[in-house]
Amino acid sequence: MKTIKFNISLFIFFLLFSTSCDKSITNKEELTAFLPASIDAQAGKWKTAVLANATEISIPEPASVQSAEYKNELAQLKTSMSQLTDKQKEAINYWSGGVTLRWNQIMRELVAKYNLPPVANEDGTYPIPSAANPLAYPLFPFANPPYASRAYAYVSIAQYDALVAAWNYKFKFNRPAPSKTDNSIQALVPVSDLPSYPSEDAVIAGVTLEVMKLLFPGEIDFLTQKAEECKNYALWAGKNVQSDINAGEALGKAIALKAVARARTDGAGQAVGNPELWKSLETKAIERGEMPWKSLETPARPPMLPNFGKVKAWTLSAEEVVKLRPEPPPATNSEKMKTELAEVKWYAENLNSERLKIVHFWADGVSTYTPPGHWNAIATELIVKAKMSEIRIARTFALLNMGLMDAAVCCWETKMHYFNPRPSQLDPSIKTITGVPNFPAYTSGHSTFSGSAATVLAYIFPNEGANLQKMADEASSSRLYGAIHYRSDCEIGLRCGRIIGDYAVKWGRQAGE
Amino acid sequence: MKNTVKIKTIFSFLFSLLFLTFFSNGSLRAQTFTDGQMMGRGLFCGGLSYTYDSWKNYWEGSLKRENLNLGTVSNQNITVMGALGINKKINVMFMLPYVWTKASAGTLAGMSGIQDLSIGVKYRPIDLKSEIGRFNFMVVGAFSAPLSGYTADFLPMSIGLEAKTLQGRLIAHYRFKNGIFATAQGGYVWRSNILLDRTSYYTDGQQFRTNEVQMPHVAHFTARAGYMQERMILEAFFEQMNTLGGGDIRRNDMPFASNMMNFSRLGMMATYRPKGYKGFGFSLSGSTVLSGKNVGQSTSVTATLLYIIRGWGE
Repeated sequence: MKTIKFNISLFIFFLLFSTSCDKSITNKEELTAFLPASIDAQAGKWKTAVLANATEISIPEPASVQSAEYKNELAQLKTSMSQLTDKQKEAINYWSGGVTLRWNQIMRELVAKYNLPPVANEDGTYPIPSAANPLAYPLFPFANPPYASRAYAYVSIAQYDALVAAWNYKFKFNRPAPSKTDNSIQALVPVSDLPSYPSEDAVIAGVTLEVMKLLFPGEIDFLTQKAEECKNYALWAGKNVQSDINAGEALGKAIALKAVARARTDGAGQAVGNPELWKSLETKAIERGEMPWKSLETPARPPMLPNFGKVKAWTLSAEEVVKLRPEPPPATNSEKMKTELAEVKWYAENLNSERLKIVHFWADGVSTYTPPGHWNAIATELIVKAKMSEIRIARTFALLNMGLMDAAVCCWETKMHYFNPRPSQLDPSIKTITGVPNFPAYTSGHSTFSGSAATVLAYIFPNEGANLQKMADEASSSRLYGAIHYRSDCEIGLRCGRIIGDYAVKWGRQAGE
Repeated sequence: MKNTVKIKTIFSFLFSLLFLTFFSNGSLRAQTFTDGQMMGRGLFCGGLSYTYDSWKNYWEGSLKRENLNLGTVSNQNITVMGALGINKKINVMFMLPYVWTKASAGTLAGMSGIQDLSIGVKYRPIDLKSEIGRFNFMVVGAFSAPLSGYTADFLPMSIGLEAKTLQGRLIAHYRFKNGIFATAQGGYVWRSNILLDRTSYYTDGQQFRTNEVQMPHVAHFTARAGYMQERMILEAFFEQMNTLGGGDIRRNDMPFASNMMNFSRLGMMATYRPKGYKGFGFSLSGSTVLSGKNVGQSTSVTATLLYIIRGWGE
């Protein structure tokens, strides 16, 4: 009997031990409040992208710090600060890590959530997600890489424009933060000398919410709640008074309308194409004497967003997009293609653990935030280290995502123009180490994205330049190692990406540094 | 009869340690500690088994579907195993599978490699004999860890889930003198976190910005009943595995290592020790998944060859 008791207690001990071990997971990019290295007082003069200029949208002149109206606001601020709930304190903690950085994380999460290809219909066709009915299956959007690049670009660029306008007014009206005008107010977050009217946090809340509603219409409740917190945290933390918030939110929303108007007419609505277009891409490839791309999925799925190459770019005209299209890939029946195909097959059959790691590190496939999101994550780490001001953070994301979306436009234009088959189509014995994307091979999207992103980030973070370009090389090679791209796709894609990245850098230089 | 029972015991015990993946072998192998028998002192049993497990349909959350881009996914393994009787009450065992996977359609490459080494100790504190039969109660502790650098992040082609495990099990067994027997086993499998080769992933309605994945623990229950005589055992078994946490596979998403993989499995097993081949035995087992969540509806066949030798003792 004694032994039984002993054994049972041993077992219970084992259970307790095993369940009490700490398995909790810590997310990277833990953002904490900081004072920026510079407040970038000149940034109100930077060139904007969707706004004509920083003053296109006007805001009312604020009440002076001597006015009764302002003093009343200070009194209200003190009252609300003395009654903070735990939830409000939590929001302060979250958003004080940097509102632009937080929204970038939220956006990446939504991209990952919506990055799932729809299931085929019974008859072998595929349903197309509808923005008018986003929550009915298939959910809208299917946040695939081109869609994601566009989402990141619109949000980041609208945020950048909105902050340029905000900076202009901040230094025009020069109203100090409440903790600088009233000694009895102790802000709960670090406060710089940045003028507080209008609130940059409220500007970001207003502009981001309105642009993201367009891009993720199924998430309006979630986004609205986040935006409420984003603008009010500045109030709860004693960083701004109510009129700072109100003016900021209104400015942000007005600027969002400009970005949304551009988005509605940029051609993305027609990017899905139609059966005639899908057929014509195939016919044109045959007419050129080439074997056309075929979907490797069963049932065959139409190519992903075949008209995305016609979407309006940020730093390139439609003519420039066509001009940047690289030389044709090796002909499908050429010796060069045979050699390249053999190389892909070699990688498929000689996988080692080092290459497997590289393939999976950069795969960024279904249910992830896509390669553009990966480069936003890489940028986030660098931004945090550099202690950038809110507007410099927005500028970094704007330039990065401008370059990424333009990379998507150019790459998709090239892909649909040449309509070149994947290695597994030419040789079905080639099995892949990651999913084969459902669009033509030439040029590699990952390579184009990575070439562009590394070039933009190397301009902003010159000390990291060599490392960033090495990462882009690795991202590009990962597609050859994974046996889903030929060497030409990767190398030429990378080269094009770097050229496209240079356009975004040029745009940034001209806009003001 | 004694040797048949021993062979059978080793076989079923060893398989209870095998923790295959997801969609592959339905994780915990069906065959578990079926009886209260132990290897005698000084006896060593070595074994080699081959398993073919495949599924065409799987559950995406609770939704059963097929996937024309996978076709039939098979998972085969050859497993070496061994068990040693330290004494009448304590046995020590190990097992190590080599696994290879394949999808009959689509482009995804099959994976292959040495999977996880399992080492376990079985202890029998209670052994009660009476006029009508015999009652055994046993406690098992086991540990497993990957022996090669395979990836769990390529399901359903991955050969394993990478997590190290600790397993604790309680077994009650009763055998009537006429050969009819029944066994119940309940176990808890503690799983370590795993590290992916990527820096973020989305599962269970949430984006994680880390390469670390929390693997929920697993509860495992089996019931077996059958009939044994001198050279043969015939039995049926039922198995229930529940993952205590984890998210569902979303519509048309890929499976993920920490998904809530649950299933019920029903199977039959026959063990035979041919006359005149002292120490040899073999067994054949087949099973099928009846219902599940985030797993393949797999059918599995295993053939095992075992040989017992005496190391020391009488």
